[in-house]
Amino acid sequence: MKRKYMSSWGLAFAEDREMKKLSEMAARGWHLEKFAPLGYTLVKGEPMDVRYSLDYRKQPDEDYFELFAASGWEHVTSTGDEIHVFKGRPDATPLYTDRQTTEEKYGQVERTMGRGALICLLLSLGFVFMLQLDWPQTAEAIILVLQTLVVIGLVFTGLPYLGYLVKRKRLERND
Amino acid sequence: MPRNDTIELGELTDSMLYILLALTEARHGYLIMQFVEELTNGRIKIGPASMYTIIKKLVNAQLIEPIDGDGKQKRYVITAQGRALVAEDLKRRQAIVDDARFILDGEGQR
Repeated sequence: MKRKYMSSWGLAFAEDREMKKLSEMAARGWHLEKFAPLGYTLVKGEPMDVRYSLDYRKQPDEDYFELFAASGWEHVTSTGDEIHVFKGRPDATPLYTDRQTTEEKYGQVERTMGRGALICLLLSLGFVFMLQLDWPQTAEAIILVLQTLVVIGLVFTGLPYLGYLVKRKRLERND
Repeated sequence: MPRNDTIELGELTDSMLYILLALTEARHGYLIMQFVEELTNGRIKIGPASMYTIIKKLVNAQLIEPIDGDGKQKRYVITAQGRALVAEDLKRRQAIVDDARFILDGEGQR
């Protein structure tokens, strides 16, 4: 089967745009199969008129997927048992239909990202402080590697955190 | 972080009120959606993610409770506490309608 890769700018920033792009790809016969590192894997099939939509939910039960299926939203793929993508007919009722629950969708993931970013930030400051002290060369190298990893972690939690924060503020302003 | 927990304030959103009304009889999630859509002639539709979120929340607030059944999907039914909150919420909504009527009807007589 023919597959191709579609890159992602990050769901915190481009969720709506990328869900729309996935629909356009499906209309051309390229269907979402699963998440890939920093993007999506699409697989070639028949062109179809579908909408994609996603939800954040930690360890959902069986009822969750059955409720979505009954409402015309077929589960496509998930990542980390937390982000779930569904595809539905163009006329299916949207996943979220009121403001309060829509805000909660992003509130939850915003808090998770915020907590992650804070931990990375504190660790990173800790390493900066440790590097001021005298260490044997190998220990210093290890600290530098850890420092680099933590900074990468900070980028991948801090930026999404800001993205979700902006998104929530925008939702609140649209009242 | 500020959390807007309407249930604690005793004020229900429209979706919550309709879900509570649907659960005066035991129903599972999808049947609630159909009930609300039929009751309101399609004016109000509740999406599955909103439905799932609200059900969890109403269970936590003990306004509804799951009942044991042989069916695949879990069914829920309103509790006494839930009925009390619905009654209170209807009073609040009725007061708004009365206020609006008072102003608009008075306007016509001037």
